[in-house]
Amino acid sequence: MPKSTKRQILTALAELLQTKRLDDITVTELVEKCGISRQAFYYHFSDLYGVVDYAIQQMTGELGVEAQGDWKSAVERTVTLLREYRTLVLNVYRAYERSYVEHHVRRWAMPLVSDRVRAAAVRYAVTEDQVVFMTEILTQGLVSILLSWVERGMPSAVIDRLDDFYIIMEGSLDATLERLAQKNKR
Amino acid sequence: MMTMMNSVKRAGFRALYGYLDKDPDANIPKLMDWVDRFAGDGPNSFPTQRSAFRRVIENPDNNWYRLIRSMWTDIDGGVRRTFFENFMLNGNLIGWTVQEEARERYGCNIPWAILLDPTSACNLHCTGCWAAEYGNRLNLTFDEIDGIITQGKKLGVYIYIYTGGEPMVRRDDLIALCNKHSDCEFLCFTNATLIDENFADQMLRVKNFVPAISVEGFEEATDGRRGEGVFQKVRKAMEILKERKLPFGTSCCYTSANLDSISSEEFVDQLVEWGAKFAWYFHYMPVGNDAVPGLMPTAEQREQMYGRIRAYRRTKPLFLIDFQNDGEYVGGCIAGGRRYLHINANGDVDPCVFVHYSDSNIREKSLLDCLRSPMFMAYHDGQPFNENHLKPCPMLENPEKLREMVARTGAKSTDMQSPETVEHLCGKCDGYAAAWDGTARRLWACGGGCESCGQARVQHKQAG
Repeated sequence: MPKSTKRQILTALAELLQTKRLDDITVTELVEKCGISRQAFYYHFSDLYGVVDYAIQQMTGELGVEAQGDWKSAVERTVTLLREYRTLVLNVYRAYERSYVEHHVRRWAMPLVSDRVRAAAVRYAVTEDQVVFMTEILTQGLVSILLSWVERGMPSAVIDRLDDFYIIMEGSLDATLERLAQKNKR
Repeated sequence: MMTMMNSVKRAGFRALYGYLDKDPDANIPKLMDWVDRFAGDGPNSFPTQRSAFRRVIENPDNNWYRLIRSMWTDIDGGVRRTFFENFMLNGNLIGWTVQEEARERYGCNIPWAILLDPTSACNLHCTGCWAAEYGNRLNLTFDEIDGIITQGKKLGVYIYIYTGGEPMVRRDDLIALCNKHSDCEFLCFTNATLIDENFADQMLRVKNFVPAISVEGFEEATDGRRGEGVFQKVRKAMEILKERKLPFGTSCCYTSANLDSISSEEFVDQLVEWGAKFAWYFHYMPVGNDAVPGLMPTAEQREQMYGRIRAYRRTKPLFLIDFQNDGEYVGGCIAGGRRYLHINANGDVDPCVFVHYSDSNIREKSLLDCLRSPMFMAYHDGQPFNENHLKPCPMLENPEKLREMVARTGAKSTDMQSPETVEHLCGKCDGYAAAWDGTARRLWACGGGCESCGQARVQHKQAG
């Protein structure tokens, strides 16, 4: 069965989501829109949530490809992409528990933050544990900012506090690593 | 209350599985301490079974321990988890309570597994098999199978077994059904020639599909019956499955002609080496107008089978089942919906894969109404058909019972190609039943080495 069937299903679901909530959509309705059989749908997905999972995978896949270079522009690109998939993301956010969306956002954000922290950490005598701890704290900060933006319905492409977050992160990295290294010496 | 009990079971089971999965070598032996603590010492605490199980899991050389342990070395982690969850937890622990409640409420049999033929079509043309003759004419549609499973789950049935025809002719639909019913376990009797890399990848994706591959013995015997080159294709399929750490078993039909060879130690060792985790043995049944009664094993041969399978169960890391000789473990005949039933590609609901007399079609009735039909109620009321569980079947060992049930209920032959009268069928079994009777009585009286029967073992020991 061609890969495009999955894409076709995803597109049709995104269209249905313009006017309906995920919980009000049926598989039968979706396959009619696609012009495929029910078994063709179930060959690929267990249920509609499976399609949403696939959408998220696709999205983070696209991000993975693009997330090179400067981490700030990677964040900006994510914000743009999230807004592109706005209806889908918001539906997922409302249909699922917040923790589900949080899990995916974290999975995406962690490597970005981690790369940045590690790039700075090579200059200091800090332990792996300390690097991981810093990464976790900073990731948590970034994730909260993004989620509260999603919570508010992604009102604009400019996210409050994101600029301030960049300043805090860039400004504190070296100072913090320096102090951790000093602590390790003692 | 039921829901709450089930979520307690689910949580407990998952915690237990997580514990085992983390370090099976260290934690499998500890499992029994945990069970003992919960079971207590009461009369319903299964002391004999528990001590048998303890002997197994505390001895790394024990064949059952090796089989259980191989679930961690030979099987993909996700597939293993799904098997425990769907088969053990849903199919047994949770399914059983739902089935029991339905049995009580409706006063009829409620199965543990449903066998169904997605199609009557087959890609091979084996000697003596009717499947190829039907062509593609008869199929249960995706929606029909989906409907059966959806109804089944409401009654607590989470185990579905495909028969045929060659079910894999409908492989895309089978994957779709695995996906849709991701809480069920699917088993599939297959000639394996349609299992390729792509299908195996799909199996790995859905995680709940287990093939039972038909083998007739070694290359000569398999190709002789199934066609040139089939044996090599089967071997190839097994390799593909093994490479991906997918579980599979085998299915063998024993006849007077092949019994010695396919029950030989050499062959069983071969099955283990190929990577099979279970081997299902079926006694040849003289079903159909074209059947060859001479292929039915003699009483001596069946006794040989009885002895050999039991000996292998004590020594080989393989789960062996001898469908006709294992009645003692399941209280005799399990057909007629008591533990299973069979739905053919025409929708006819047969009490058994071997007994094609029915008064119900799934296209006309709900699954529950089929179970409450006169033919299924005759099974329900008649079971066990014999107190000697080595004579479990209302056809093979008790042919007068099937004659009576068919006459009383007016069940019709569901053989689509050549309907056979019950008299014709049972007439072929009378002589067999009489010949087997003496052996069955002697074996049944003995008991001895049955792990499930503590009493017999004690007597056996005292006698020795």
